Amino acid sequence: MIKNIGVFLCMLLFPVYGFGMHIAEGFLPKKWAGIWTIIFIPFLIIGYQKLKKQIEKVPKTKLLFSVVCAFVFVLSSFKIPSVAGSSSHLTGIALGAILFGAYSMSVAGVIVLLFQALLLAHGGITTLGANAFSMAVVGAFSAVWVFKSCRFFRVPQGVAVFTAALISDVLIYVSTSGQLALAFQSPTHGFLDNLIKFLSVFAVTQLPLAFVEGIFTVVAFNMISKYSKQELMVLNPSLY
Amino acid sequence: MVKGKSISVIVVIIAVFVVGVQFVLPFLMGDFKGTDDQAVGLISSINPDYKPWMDHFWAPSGDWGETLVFAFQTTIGVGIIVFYVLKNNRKLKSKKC
Repeated sequence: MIKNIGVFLCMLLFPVYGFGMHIAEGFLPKKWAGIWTIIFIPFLIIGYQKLKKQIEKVPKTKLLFSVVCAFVFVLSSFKIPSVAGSSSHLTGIALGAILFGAYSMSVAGVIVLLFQALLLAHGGITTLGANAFSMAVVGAFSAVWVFKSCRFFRVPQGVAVFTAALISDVLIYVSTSGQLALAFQSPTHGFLDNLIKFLSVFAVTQLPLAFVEGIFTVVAFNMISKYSKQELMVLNPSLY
Repeated sequence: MVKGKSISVIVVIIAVFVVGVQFVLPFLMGDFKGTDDQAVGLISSINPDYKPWMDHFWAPSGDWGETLVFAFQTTIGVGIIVFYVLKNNRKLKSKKC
């Protein structure tokens, strides 16, 4: 117990609070804000229904889902210094995606992003759909696909979790770069030109942090696998 | 009752620790510019005429206000994780006994 709490206390030694990934309030043109919201809503509805079924099937997973959300809460509140004097934050979305499935993380993503938009003025209500799509759809689905691919090739579970978290973290920022590049393309600034510019801001900063996210996700995954083995055997038998 | 108290004490200690670290670290590490701020700067350089069409309804006042709300966010998260660890650790111990 002390060891586990110690790990999280060590994590707390790093943060300087702030944000790195979210598109700020009003910084996405109305058309694109609407498009990303419409694209995200079906994922949220399906995610809510799947989560409801999972909780009905195994009521004890309520606490487990709270822990997964708490992990996103904690990791996304860390602003970690990275290369070239810039900083960004972790997302924590891969853990829940691997345990609960990608759709269910839409619910967790919206909870965290709404909290940050309403109380912290980071991200925004108008950009919620775009930010949620990057974090809870691109991040969650990529984590699940990478994890399953790794397991298919018989990669050890810990390495698979690490790789899934790392790639998911980077792809979230690639997605955000793509959204901004699409929204601000013009005859003088084409999509690819914009994409390279935004990637140079987001991806370069994020790559070293993705390794940190991978390590934290493995620690949390091992802890949950140890404590909630019975629930996970029903919820996600492929893990055992 | 005693179990509840011990969890509360641990959560309070963590909360104090988080807030304490929060106020000390910026002095030690200097100011690292967030990528979201850099992206806003990039948008302005790509499209200088673009004006945000919506602003936040509310924002924490000053750096300290923001720090406290962020610390609140972390404390909620860590509190739930600590509760989960303690609860399951006791369960494992009782099974062993």
